[in-house]
Amino acid sequence: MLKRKCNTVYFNERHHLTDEVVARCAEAMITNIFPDNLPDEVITHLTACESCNERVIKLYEDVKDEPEIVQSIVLKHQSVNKSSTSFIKIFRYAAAAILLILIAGGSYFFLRPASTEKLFFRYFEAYPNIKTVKSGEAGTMSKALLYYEVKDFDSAILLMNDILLREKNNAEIMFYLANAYLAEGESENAILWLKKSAAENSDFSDQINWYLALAYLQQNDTKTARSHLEMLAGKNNFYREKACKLIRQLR
Amino acid sequence: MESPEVVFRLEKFNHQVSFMLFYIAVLRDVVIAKSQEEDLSLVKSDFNTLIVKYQPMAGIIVQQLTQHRKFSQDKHNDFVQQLLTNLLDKKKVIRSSYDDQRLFRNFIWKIALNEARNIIKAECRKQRLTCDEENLPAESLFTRNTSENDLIIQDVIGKLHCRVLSYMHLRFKLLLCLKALYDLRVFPTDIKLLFFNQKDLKINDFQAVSDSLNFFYRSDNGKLQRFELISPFLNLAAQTNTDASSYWRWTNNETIKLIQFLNDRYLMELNRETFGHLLERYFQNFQNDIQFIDDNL
Repeated sequence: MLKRKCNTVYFNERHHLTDEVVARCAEAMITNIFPDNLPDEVITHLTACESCNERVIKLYEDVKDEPEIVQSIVLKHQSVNKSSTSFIKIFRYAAAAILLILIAGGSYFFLRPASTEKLFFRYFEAYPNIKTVKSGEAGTMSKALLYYEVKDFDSAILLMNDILLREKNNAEIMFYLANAYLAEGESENAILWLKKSAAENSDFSDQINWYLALAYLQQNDTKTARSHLEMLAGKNNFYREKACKLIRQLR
Repeated sequence: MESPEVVFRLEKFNHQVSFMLFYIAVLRDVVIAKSQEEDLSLVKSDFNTLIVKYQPMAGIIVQQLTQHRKFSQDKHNDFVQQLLTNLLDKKKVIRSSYDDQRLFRNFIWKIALNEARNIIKAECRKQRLTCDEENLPAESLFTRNTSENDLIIQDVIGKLHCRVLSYMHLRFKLLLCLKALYDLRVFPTDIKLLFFNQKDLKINDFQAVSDSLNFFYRSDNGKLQRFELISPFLNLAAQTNTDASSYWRWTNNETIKLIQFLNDRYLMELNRETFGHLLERYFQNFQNDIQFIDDNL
């Protein structure tokens, strides 16, 4: 019985891998790129069937130290990648052309003042984790910050709330928690924790003002958002330029 | 090679692989099949010619068994001659015990290997040398820290790596399970690579799991706990619902296969314990490679 998938025969009449599949497996071992179009049954057979496994390994051992063969295989892979890349390029140019036409035709829509929601997404980026976790603090704290870093904000919020139950005055965690809430679209909670953080520690005042402005922006409260932005625009700080730009866009 | 068999098989080329590799795969297989046909006729009709045909194999076996010992070239040649003579003397046994459904070259390889070991052991006893072949060579490989042993270990590690590579993407599962079975240090990358083809999967806490795995290091019931910790990840990666003990059993089976492979094909005498030592060395060599794959996937 021949097993077929996508018009490709994987097994021969004796229920062993075909020559081409054997070669493909050896090729995968050489290039270290796993053939994602090989079904699991092939891999299962390969690990279970001593005869096929020996064929693949012996073929690999025969050719792996032959630079000409290895080079030809690597070149083939590169050219396949290149051709797929050039296809992607053509596709991208076509998409860009269509986009240009759309821009030209519908420039009116683009010239309209941006909505607060759009502005929020344009400017919001969760504050990067710069907190150093000491070895003694490892555990919930490092886990919480890890979740925060990898943008798993739900888990980060749970753990940070847990930390704040024990360390009620931890302004840094309050600040990161506010960021996590903001990323999750919960601006009310974000504002609450940003204000608490500001009350505990003034080191983050610029950052807090910036994220408060964004939180109010998310709530569509442009007036309060602008007041925080103006505070930032009025003095020399990291957010000054962005704040000025955002104020202009809010007009 | 002009043969209808070769042409027939080459015609099945489907352009999914380098033609050169496909061509070599076909030729290798056809040559082995032709050789088997020849062996089947020779084993019945002309046993002497058959043994002469396998003379190079005898040379390879002796060379591999003596490569790290101080035997002269003359002695080496004597061993080969002795081995061929012994094989000729075993004509009746070989004829009666050979099952013609199996490859003769594999069958004769095993017989020749045992014979060669006996010859070398006898010579060692005669010369009153400490002969590793007599007392668990694999054991002494890891206990005696010599440059010779290092060379042998490196060689075997290379063979093990070939075998591990042949598991394709399943090799990440195999390596993680082997680490769990042999209480070896697990790195976050080891778990992360189970999901190398599922980049948008929302799992990030590999560090916490690897820390937990390492926490059970050589503790009572640690193995099952380690398998219980990794099984959700293995299940998620393979979209299955297998329990930890099944993964443990699977790893045991694969371990036996790996040991048999190294013992049969590469003249080792590994057992489960010495295989553990080999794995430790393997991971010392290849952990960086694993990290490299992770960085490039």
